Amino acid sequence: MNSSAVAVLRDRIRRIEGVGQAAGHPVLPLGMTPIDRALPEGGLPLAGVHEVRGDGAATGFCAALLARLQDMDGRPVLWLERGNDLYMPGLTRFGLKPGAVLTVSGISRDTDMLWAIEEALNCGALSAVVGEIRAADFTASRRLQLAAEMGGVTCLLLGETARGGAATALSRWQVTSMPSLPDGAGVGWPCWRVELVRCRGGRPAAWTVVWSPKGWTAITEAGEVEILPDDIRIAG
Amino acid sequence: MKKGHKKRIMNVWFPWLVSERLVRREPELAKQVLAAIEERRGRLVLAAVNRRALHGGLKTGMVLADARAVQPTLQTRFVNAAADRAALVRLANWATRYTPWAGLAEGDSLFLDISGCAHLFGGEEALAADLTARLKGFGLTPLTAIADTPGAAWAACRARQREATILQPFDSLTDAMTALKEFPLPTLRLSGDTLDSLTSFGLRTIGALYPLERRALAERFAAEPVRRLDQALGVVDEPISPIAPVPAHEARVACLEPLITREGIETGLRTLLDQLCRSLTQSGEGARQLTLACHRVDGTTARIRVGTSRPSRWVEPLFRLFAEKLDEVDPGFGIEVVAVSATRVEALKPAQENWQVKGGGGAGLAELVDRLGNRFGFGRIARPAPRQSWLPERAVEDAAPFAEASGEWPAGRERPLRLLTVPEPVEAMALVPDDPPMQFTRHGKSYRVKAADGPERLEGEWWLKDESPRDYYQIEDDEGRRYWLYRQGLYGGGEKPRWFLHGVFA
Repeated sequence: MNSSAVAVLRDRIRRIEGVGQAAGHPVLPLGMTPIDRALPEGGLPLAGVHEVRGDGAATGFCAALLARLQDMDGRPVLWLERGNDLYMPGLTRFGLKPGAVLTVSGISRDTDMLWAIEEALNCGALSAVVGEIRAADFTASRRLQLAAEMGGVTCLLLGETARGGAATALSRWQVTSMPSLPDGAGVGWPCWRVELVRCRGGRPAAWTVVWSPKGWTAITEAGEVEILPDDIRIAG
Repeated sequence: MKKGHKKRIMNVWFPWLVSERLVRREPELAKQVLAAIEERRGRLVLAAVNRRALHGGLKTGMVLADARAVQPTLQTRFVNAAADRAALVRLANWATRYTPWAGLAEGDSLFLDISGCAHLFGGEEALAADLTARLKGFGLTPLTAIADTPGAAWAACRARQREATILQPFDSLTDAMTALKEFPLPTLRLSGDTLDSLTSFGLRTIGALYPLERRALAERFAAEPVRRLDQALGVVDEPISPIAPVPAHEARVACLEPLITREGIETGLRTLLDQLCRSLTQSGEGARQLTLACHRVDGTTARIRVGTSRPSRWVEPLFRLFAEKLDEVDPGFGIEVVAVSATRVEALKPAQENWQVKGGGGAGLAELVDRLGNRFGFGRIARPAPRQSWLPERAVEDAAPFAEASGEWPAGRERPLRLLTVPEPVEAMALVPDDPPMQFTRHGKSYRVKAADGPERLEGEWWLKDESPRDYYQIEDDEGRRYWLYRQGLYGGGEKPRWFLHGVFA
């Protein structure tokens, strides 16, 4: 089978899986070769719903994704908060440009949150919507996926634990803190375990991601290192 | 004066308001001879009577003892002026179903400015008939009159004492003088003293004042009679003080068939918004707040209010804001009058209609902000902006969603991703003063500190220096989670230093 036949088949599989648009669907490359290789078309598919679960590291991961998206798409980002603790000076560390970020705080009920996310996705004037939600059932999550596709808006569902359904999301990520890499004295650079739990058109895998002032770097489980800044020493 | 621009004022008088209010509270009084009494110069006198008492020979101002002699079965209640006034205020609010210009008038009555809205109710006669029928349904006996001026309406109401008196629009001053000539002098709304002295001169009707020289009249009786006469004849304007602020822009519709479905209300609302937005366009304004008032058959009113993040005069977005809340409107037995008003407006230049938010967006985003704002409150929507302060909780300002971006975010400082709104007290142990803690306890769980950065000393601006400086540490536990802890107070000082968790890092 030649490569074009493979491409056609891939395309057909994606359509069957319901990723929506076929080849040429816009994606957001993460800029980390090992992770991008595991994603369909070499990046995170835009105009769809992605779940990001985990502790504080998941918030950082979202901020870094949005920062990369802001470089591609100048439209504002909306962050829907459950509480009122999102702190912009900390988000800027991951490259997020706060000038075009709108926040709505204190949406504590999931029903309100789902309503707000769907309204935001339908509006079409945003590049991405982050919704801090505990759980979305199958129907709700399907609605969000449709709204994201129609509106051309990327949706990140951010929560603490991956619970139940929401199997309609394009991908699910589990991001947890890991002990930082020693960097002389004191606290080192943030280090996360990033697991792609599920991804339509991609393949599940896990990496260690290090955030340094130069950006992020992924290390595969097998120890495969992409390009590491010279000044990082790897323990073990 | 052009006919079309003339004002038309209705006076609604409740001659039996006091006794009818008492009967509403105590229905068993309905069949009694009743008077409201008050103390005047050490004696109890009748302040108001009901119809039975009047027919039985009682009058206001009579001494109670005399009244009892005439009518031994007389029931009395003390006057409650505050409650009477409150009842009148409620009636004025109710009357806003006809016009926003509804206000209190002298002598238990109301003024309604019905200029330009009588046609909504089928003309002046139909409006008066509708109004009196409804008020009678509440157990009241209203008398009304419509004329070009409040003074003329007030006079006509008392002179004719009918459910509806309509004085045709005055063509000229002479015409007005002729219309009021025969009305008794007390109908000129004069104070008791002025009226007494005028009567003592043998003046009985309003017309009797016409031949008198104005200056002589003013010198002899002060300005009052001249002013009242001028007001009644329309020589000087008399504004009505509306009971509620009158919106600059309002549209209303009276429904022939009471509305009982949401679809019906929606149809009416859309038409009204269309009118309202055209009126806003003409004046170069946009609405920041709108109120929908649904006046029900039973006299009650349901109101819903929506706000916008910037002046707006577009029917569809405004309609959608109301649509979110329409379920709150219970039509009850039906809604007869629907009114939409712009209760807060701002200038909106045509150029602003095509505004852009920094970084893209546009009208779609503004509509979204409005919808979120009406559901969660506009105060919860923010575009975080930097503020010059060392205190972390003061370093971010919640700018309005569409405010101009300003200021620079300080670089090079390690700040958490999540900042607790209220720092959480934790137990922490440090080996050496000024050292980061070795471990800390939160919610009964203890965390071992693996690595730490700090201290970074932060204190409030000098005018806020009401607390001691804080020493912040970035701390990593053995699972790699990072916290922002601070110590307040110094070791060796008078008080033991306390530790707080203020945020978490990624």
